Amino acid sequence: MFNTSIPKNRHLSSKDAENFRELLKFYENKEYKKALKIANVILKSRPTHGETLALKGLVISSMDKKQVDEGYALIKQGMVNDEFSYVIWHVCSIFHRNAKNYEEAEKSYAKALQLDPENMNVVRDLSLMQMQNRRFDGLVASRSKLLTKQPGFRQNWTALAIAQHLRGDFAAAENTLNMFEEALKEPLPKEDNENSELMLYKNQIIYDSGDVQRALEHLDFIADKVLDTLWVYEARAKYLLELGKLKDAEKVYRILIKRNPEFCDYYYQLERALQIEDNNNLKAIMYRRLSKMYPKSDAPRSIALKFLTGDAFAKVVSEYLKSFFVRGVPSAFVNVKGLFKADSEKAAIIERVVLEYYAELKKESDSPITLLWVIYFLAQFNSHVQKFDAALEYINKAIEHTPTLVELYMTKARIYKRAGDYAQAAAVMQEARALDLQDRFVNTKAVKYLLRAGDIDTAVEVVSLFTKNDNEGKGVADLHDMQGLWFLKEQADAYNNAGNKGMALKRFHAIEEVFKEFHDDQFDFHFYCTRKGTIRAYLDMVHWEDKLHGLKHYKRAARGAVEIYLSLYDQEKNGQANGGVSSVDDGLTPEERKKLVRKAKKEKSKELKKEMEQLESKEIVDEDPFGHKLLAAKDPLEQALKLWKPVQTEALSAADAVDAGKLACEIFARQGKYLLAMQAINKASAAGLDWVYEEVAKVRAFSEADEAIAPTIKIVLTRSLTNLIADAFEGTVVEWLNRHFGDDTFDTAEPVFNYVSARQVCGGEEKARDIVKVSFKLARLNCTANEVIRGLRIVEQWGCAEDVAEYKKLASEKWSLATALQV
Amino acid sequence: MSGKRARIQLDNVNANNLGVLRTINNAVLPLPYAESWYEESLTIGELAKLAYFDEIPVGAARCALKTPTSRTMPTSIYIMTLAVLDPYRGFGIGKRLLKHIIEQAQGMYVHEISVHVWDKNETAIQWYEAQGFEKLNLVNGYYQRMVPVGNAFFMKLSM
Repeated sequence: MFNTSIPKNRHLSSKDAENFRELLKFYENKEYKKALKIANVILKSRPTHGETLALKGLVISSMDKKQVDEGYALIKQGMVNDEFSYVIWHVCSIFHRNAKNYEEAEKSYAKALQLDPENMNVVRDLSLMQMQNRRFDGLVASRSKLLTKQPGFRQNWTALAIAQHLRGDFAAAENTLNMFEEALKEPLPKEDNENSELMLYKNQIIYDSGDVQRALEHLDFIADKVLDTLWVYEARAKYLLELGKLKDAEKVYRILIKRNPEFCDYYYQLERALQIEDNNNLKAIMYRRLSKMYPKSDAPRSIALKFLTGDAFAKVVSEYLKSFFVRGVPSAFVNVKGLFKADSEKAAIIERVVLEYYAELKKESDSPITLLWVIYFLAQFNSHVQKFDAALEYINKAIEHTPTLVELYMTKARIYKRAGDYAQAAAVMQEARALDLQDRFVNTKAVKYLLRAGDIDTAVEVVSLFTKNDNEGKGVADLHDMQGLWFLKEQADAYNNAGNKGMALKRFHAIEEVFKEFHDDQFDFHFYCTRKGTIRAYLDMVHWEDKLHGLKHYKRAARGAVEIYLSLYDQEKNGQANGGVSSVDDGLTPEERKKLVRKAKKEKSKELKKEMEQLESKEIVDEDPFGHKLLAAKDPLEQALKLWKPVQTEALSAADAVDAGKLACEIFARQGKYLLAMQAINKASAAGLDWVYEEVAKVRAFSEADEAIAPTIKIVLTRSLTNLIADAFEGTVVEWLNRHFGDDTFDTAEPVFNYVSARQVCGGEEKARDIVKVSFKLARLNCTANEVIRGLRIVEQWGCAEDVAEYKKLASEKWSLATALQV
Repeated sequence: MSGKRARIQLDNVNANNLGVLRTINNAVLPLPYAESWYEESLTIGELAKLAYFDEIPVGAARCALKTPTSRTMPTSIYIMTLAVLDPYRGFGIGKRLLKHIIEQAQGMYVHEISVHVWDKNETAIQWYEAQGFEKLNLVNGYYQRMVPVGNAFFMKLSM
């Protein structure tokens, strides 16, 4: 763009101007070396030429990641020398965009556009940033501008409609698509997929605007002009149901079931259309008929099992399971295990039915396979109800019967895992793996089990059989590149269990990094999908991205990291309070403590030695190979909050968001942000969540120990707490806590851990005794091996040797296989 | 599954499923075989075979070629192991494996298949006889590592 009035400091001699154009060309063709050379030529005669400086900065930062800072400094310098150059701002935006810093890129593009309002390339790029950053107002403006300039492209119409739709302006979005249709001289052919998409999209907009009736009318109008027939059926059924036209809805749902008799949701919607959702007798009839109509389909049978009870249930479940056993379907147990959770009577019926069948088969059977799958089922069943001895007996019988079946060994391993013998579980899973070395699924399972058993080295060896390996034959780096979330998470946990918090943090942050990549990955689609016209799939992706950090895998990793950061903070704080010595409040005698310190030192030096060896053996590219820098973070609570906040803001459901408040509360209470903590607690209380009492106690304890708390805050906090729980200030925190956690509270493991966690914060003389006393409940509770072992760790930390022995004795009655509990 | 697919299927032995051959032999045969023997099984192609019943591996055969010192071409196929897991006998799995061995013999113009069978294993002897094998001499002390030392019948199928 050549303005008539080029400022003096920007003006180049004709030769340099020629070189500058060359420079641009080289950059665009990614010929960075040539570009750098020619930039230096210009700078030789014009060392302060801003645009050249900026471009040089962009070039060197593109050449080598290590020069990014240096490149950015040059761009900044260029800006100082020539502050009104749109070229420099454009260069700056590209720099940020390359660095995936979309926020800064958006600002720079906006600035470039101010200086050069008619540059459509900049408008387009700006719109992409606005989409990435979800700035819908700006997005509508940018895309309107693009459409006005270039109305001949369908993608510009689509892009504007999407922007308006996302902004919530349904009428405008629909209007944009209407105008496009009117602009067409003749209707497009049906085979035009983009056109079909556009019509379906318009229908979606009308529906989203809330006018279901009009959406239905429009759907009828476009039905024979679009390609996605299934979507039309599904939308019509949904609209009819919502409009109360039940007879018509029923018809469409029956068509849908015929098209795909395995899709459960069609059946549920059919129940609604028939208005029999709450009538189990009529539902039983409906599903019986549908089962006959679709004899090969699982859905009508398995859905019926959910609401049938008593004898009717026994009859159906018996037929259902037998058909699995006879056909030799391995997943019989998985298909019915969901029924146990809701109803223990059903579990009993299923056990009875299968045992009867087993007795029958034992007497006479002409099919070894059927017998095998029945024994297999019984092993899984007993494992599920935590009868581990019986489970092992069945599975060993099955293995004796058919020692070549991988599934049997996998189940045997799972039984050991559930029973708390992690080493044996891993060993059996390795046996399973040996039967089929090319089965990646079993390989993955073996790796997971090895990590659970704490054998990180072997786990890495085994997983490396299937990865692209580094010079040392290890695949850990590849699992980062391939975004192997399961591995990163399991390895983080394994490190954490081994007390290596640095490596655990490192892996948790690696998961965070993968999610950042997921988030960045959508960028290319903002342009691509509008061009290709795959709008509905694109919008699904956009909505998915908006809830990215509410997904299970992120949440788990963030939780793991946050818990470490909290413990780092607590350690640091306790250390300070005790004049730098380790925590006095650990309930140990001085000798015991000395011993522990010695042991820790010894282990640390071992670890250090190992690290040094590793360091020497390879070239270090990783700046923090052991996570030490992460451990040394100055502001662990800020780090924790940064990780956890998106879990709240991107929660998949309102309930998830409220539950995520617990960890937020832990962070806020330590930061002295008591009122924010109270907000989370209030929401949780309204939702009836169990952890409210734990957090109330903590907020009270932290705030009472906080000498710097502002008087006004204290008043508001006191009022807020009393509003929530009338007796919140009756007695000391400890008295209050013990009052609210009565013996009858501890019916599952969760309240035990909640109490222990709160009690640790509250202080008082009886702290260790209280913690040990409540932890003992775990030895007898209905919980998992993990939980009962966690209880042991608490008793080890807070109790004396007799307590530990007593806990083991009590717990090992039920958990006889759990290695940690053996005396 | 008893659909269109036949219930019995054969598959090759390879490095990845060698553990299956080992497991079947250990479960059925009275004596264990050395690791080197299993590794050798990977080099003899169609003469080592696994049998699947409803997609579960339940049987295995492993043979060797016999070439007399005076000849350059093999004259017989010798069955080293042929085993089917106990619950899966009577479904024709052993027969299917033997059929495969016979086909191999025909393919290489070999007219004899031979085997040693433990003299105490009457079921096996009867089974081989039913398949057309001829019971020949008794080899005393054939199973040296067995306690007490076991004898074997040499059996032969001529085609």
